[in-house]
Amino acid sequence: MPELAIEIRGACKRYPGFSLEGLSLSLEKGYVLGLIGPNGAGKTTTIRLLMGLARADSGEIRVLGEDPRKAGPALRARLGFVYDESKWYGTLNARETAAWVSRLYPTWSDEAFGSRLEGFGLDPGKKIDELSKGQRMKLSLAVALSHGAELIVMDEPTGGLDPVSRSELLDSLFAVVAEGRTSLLFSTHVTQDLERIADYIAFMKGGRLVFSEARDEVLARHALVRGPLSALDPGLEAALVGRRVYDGGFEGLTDRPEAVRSRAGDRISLERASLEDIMVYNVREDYHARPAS
Amino acid sequence: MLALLHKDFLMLRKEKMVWLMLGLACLGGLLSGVQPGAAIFLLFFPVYWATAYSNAYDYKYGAEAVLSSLPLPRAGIVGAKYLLSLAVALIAVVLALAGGLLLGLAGPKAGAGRLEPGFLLAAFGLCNLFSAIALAAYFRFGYMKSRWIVIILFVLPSVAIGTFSGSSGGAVGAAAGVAGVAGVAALSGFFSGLAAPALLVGASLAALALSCLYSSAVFARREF
Repeated sequence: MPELAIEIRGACKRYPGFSLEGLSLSLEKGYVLGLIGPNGAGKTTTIRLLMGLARADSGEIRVLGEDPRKAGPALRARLGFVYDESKWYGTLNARETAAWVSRLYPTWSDEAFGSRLEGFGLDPGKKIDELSKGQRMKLSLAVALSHGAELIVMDEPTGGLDPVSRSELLDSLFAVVAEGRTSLLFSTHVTQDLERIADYIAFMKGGRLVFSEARDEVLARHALVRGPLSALDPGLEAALVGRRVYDGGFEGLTDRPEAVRSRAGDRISLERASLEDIMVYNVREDYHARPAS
Repeated sequence: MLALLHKDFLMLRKEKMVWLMLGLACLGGLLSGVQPGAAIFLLFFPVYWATAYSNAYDYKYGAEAVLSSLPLPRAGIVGAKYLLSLAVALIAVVLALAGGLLLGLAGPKAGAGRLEPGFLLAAFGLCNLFSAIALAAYFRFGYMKSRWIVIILFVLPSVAIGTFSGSSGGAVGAAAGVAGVAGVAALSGFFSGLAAPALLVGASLAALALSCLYSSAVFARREF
């Protein structure tokens, strides 16, 4: 039985106007799980439950084998976090932040923190308020990596970053993941990020889990289908997750490429779908409902 | 808790206002012999400023979620706020004492009266009573609402008491309820002995402890 970094079984959390229903999810230690879904899918709620910031109405949640809501500081000392907006005190600089945060972590390494800051090109004497969003995210990551976190939970760390900052942050994450001892939960709606680093993908929509499986399997199982409208018969349509129609043709997403190929043969073309395609076709209701003309 | 206190002091020392606050506390000691009401206000103000500042920055940066994600018990997050108010009150009293000693060195010609030990105890107790109420309101109602509660509970009554008692000295004194109350107390010889101020300190520490327990219970249930 593999050791699990995260285990969620049947978790429900209800807020006015939103509810997370029966979420079950797991992540083995040493792997990267990408949590994708549109805004309002329940990604942040899931992260709040995992970090013990919110209490599940029902279901069971285990983080590194413990209930995060009941566990004490010892569990949180093994966790790192990067939230969507840096919440470190902006009037302090990185050096001062480390000065007080380091007192909380028994395994804190000033040397590791210094080398991460250097690696990220961060000025330890610059006020956090004066750092760019990308730099603040890197600071959060440097904190998470300086106490040997076994699991790092990241909520939209690349949201709002320019492509260069995003790429730099992902490179840093890639280096961490390559070391192999840290598990990572990475929530985002920028799905290209996950195609680079995630081992597993969990897709959420409307507070429910649509699927959770290995990234390569997700990508292999889905394909983009293109063809003329004449090929879009009800049988083919039933094999599509969603489709959109344009002048004289259609494009759709299937999770049964063999069925599509055997039904439509050479009349259609099949291409590799990206995670973004998979998300868009699953989410957009108009792609599900639009009748073929 | 000490790590959070460390954080608060790192932040406070960056504020230009901190020098004014230290000066006010010192001035409180200088004035204590002649105008105890206004003097207590001068000691009370740094406590109000430090706790309000710490709460405002937690609100501005949405820091409670981060603090709750750090390896700290939730009671420790709450306790750190109380520890800060207690620490600042102690610093204010020590600075007032220093101010009083400076006055003593200047000799009787300084003509500003002498520092009463009872005054320092009473000031410390009143600061703690303020913190007990203000921090419980902060944890129960949040930063925005608690600001108004503090104003309604302290500033408005102080304007009234300060103004009508005339004991706290001018517009600044009138703005401090604590000053007004202390001014009335001063008139009735409250500071002449140690028993009553010591009782006040004891009661204020008990109130602070009860308030901390209440805030911890509220904060333990909070979700982010």
